[in-house]
Amino acid sequence: MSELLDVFINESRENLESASRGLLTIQSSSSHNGIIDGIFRDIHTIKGSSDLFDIKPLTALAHAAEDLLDCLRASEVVYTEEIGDLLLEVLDQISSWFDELELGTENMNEWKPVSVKLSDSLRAFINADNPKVTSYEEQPHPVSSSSENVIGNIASESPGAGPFTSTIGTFTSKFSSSSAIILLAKTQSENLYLIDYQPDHDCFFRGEDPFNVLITMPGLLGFKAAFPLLTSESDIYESALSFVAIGEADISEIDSHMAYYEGQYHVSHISRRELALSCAAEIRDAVEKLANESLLIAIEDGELEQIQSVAELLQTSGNHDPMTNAVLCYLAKGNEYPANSTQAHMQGSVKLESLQLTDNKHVKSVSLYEVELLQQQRKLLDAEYYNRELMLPSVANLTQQLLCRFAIECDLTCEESIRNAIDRALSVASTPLENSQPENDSNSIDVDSHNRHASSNSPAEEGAKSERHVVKMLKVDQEKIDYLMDIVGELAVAKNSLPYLAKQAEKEGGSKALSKQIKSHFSIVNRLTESLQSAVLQIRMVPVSHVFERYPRLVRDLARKLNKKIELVMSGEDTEFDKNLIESLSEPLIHLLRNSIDHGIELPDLRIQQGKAEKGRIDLIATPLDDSVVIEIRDDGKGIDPEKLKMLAFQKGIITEHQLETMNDEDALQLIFAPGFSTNEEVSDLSGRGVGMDAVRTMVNQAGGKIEMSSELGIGTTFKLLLPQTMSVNHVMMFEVADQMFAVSMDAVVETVKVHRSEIQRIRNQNVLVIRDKLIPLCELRSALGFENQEKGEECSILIVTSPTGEHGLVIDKFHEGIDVIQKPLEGVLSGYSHFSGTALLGDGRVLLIVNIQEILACH
Amino acid sequence: MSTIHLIDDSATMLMSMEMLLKRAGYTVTKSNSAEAAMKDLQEITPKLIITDLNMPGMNGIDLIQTLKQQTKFRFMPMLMLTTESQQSRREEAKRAGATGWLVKPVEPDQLIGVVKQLVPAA
Amino acid sequence: MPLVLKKKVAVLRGHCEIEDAESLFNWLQESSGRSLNLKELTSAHTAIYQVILGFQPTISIMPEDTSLFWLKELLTHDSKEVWL
Repeated sequence: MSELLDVFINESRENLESASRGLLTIQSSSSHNGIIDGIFRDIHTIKGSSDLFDIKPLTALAHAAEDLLDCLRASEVVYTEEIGDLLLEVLDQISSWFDELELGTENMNEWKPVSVKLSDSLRAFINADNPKVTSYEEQPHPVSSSSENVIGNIASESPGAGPFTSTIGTFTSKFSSSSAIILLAKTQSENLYLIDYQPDHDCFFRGEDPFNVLITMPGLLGFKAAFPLLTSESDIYESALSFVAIGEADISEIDSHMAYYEGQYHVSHISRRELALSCAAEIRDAVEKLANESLLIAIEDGELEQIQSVAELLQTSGNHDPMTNAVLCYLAKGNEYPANSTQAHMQGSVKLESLQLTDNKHVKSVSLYEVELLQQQRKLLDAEYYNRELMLPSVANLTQQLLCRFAIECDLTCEESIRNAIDRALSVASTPLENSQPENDSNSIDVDSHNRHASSNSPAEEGAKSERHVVKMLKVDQEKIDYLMDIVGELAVAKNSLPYLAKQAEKEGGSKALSKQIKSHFSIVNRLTESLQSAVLQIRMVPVSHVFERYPRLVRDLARKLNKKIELVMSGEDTEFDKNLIESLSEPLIHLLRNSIDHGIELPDLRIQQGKAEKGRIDLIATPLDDSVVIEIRDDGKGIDPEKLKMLAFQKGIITEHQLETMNDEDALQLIFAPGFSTNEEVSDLSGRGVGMDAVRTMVNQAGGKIEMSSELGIGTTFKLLLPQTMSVNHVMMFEVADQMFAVSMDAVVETVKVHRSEIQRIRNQNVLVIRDKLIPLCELRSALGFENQEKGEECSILIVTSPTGEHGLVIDKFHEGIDVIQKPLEGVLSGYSHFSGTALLGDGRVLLIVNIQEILACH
Repeated sequence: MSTIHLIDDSATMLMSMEMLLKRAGYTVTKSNSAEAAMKDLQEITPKLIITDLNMPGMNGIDLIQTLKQQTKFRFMPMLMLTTESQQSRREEAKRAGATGWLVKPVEPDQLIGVVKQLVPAA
Repeated sequence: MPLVLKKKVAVLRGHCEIEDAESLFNWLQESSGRSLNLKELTSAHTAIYQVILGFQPTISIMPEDTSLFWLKELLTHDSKEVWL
């Protein structure tokens, strides 16, 4: 089940993001039309799917938002920025609830009050005069469901079908004469129904399958089918069937079963008691005709068990006609032998008269005369000419009064059928009202038709839309791509052994031809592997818009908090970037944006004073450049003051007094990257959380990139980041220190030397080596990497590398060969270690740590 | 092998219905839009089609209406997914040739019950 | 195959779809004296039942499936009334 939750959350997050974007677009542009519709759709989808889970507060909140958006798109409510803000707040809330769901820390009790509060605020906009209070039990559109029931009633109980007698009439007329008795024998239930089902001629074309609908009818006991004989002219795809069926179930169950077939059936209740009464005479006749002594005696004695056993016996013996069989079956099942007619009548009236109840306050006895009266009323109520508004209420009233006065408790069916008749009559009378539709429904209909118009574009547009859909997309699990990458990486490493093997083949195997073949195949494999590598890397490329998307919102919120007006203009969002690396890109950008907003852009008033536009502007531009991407963040804020920087740096002891005097502006600006720097005295809670530009630079460097800054006082500041687009294949040189394998980028390696200990000199506390008149400072990697110092041997292996601070020598234990690897950035706990720029997986499964030369040297 | 084809622009809805139907022993195929369904259904012939009503682009009713004009689909049962408040749309759907409808969120028992009725052989 | 049309007998097996109704109907009309083997029929679309009941062909073997008890009743008796 959690897989479904994952899909739901992922899809819904996309919906949320789309909705957010929409809301932000509305802020900046004035045309709302299609946008609100899109936002409505997003929320609608979220609401719908959320209903699959037990997260009612979320569904309720989404519902409230949906309702408000519905009013907005119908222009019943005017959009204001206040509404926009509230909607954004709601989206945020839903998003944070998703976070909780992902972690499994959700708490409905906490969600409820939040949901209610926000829902009320949302609904307040809909109903400016009287805001409704949201409750979870609130069913949407209760009116429509009740009106539905009424319509259902009209359909299911035909106006023609009058009081109960006609239902029984239908039954006995459609079915055989013994059917009533068969039915009585079959069931003791009072809850019987009779259904008349006449499928439309063209029902097959609606995918309907009438026979199967019939056979699966709840509580079906029996049916009668009518079908025509076919001729060669017959259209076999036309349904010419009709059925009458009888069974044991609530009418509501039948209506439910027949929900799709409204208008093709009538169902009504059959009272078993009445049925029994109507068959009474036939049963008696059949018994008389049978003229069986023992049976007759048993009946006279009134011995039920005796009647039962005799009837059973008689059933098994001899051939009887269907009617007799049915009667015997009826009796054998222990049913009551109906007393003769006068008796029955007497029974009826006796029952009525026995309504001389002890409680004289409420009930009076009812004479037969009054029963007659009511029966008349019933008939009248059904008559057509009473179905007019004028007569009906008064008649209904009168009947109700009569009912109350006489409190006919015994004759339930009478009261029930009167009630039914009244209800039916009243509802039929109110059909004119139905056409005008209650408030809610008319709104929804209008919106629906509006919706249809909105969605039914011109054919040309439709065509274009479906064209765009043709670009087939595959949603692939990121893990699968990572796995693919690993394998490709291993393949790259594995292929590297081939040249060596070729050599071996020649040397030890003595086969030059074989060696040549291996070498030539190697070049093929090499070429293919490289293509494979770049193809796989391409899969992981995503447009930077993925990351950029969040920024407008971020900028907006931050600007708001600081009472500044700022606009973020982005371009080049299509520029592609490796999905894994993109996060490494995002972090520094966010910090830079924060800085711009916090320290760069001035307050609106100040800006106006300076003759700038009130609204500050930040440009975020992404441009591809060879294998890298250049990202520029430019603001038109107050710029950075080199003097101020120098002063602060001096105060913090980062530069000396001499440097304070002599440093030029350009270099001064670069001080911003120095560790432990903060350009603003007050650490603003937005960007000053101990994150300085040095951290940003480290992040960029770790990702294999570079960062530059330029600034002009009063004009603005520009940051330029250069980042590698993919995790490209790196050619690295491996070496060993303390039995562990490390590597450095081959580009940085100048040369490898092995020198005698004695050649190392010491100058000013540092070991150096002189090579060809160059002074190369040395760095003991053993200690730099934190290993224990070992007894130094006679010879030293030194790796000469270049770095921004010149050439350096890394003292290592052993050299190893150069290999191609796909470098992965450090993740998780290790990402804090700036010594290493990444890791790579070796063919034998070992992990290779790739050393970041700059950082190692800096720390040492 | 009775196949049921689902059409809905929400991946969540598609997935949840698919899970229910698969558990009941049906094979399920899906499209995430009416336009995609038109293409997909050229290759497949399901026993039942269940489509959402409100989708961006072509809606469920128009889809049903269009499909019903093809011989392949003239007798095929089709259900539309609607929300509580869309009663008039259900009637419209019937006129367009739909067999019936299901109200969202769909109760698992209800879905399977209706499907069992319309697709007798599982 | 649910519907197999041979020279004298049509065998209906499992579930028969509405599309089979036309073939069955045409086949029955082609020559008289053709019969239906419904032994292994388990269910069918109404159109099929309509053809079978409306054409009244000879049934060589009745359906054995208990769920089709009603069909057997309708085919064996004239009354068109079925009690389950």
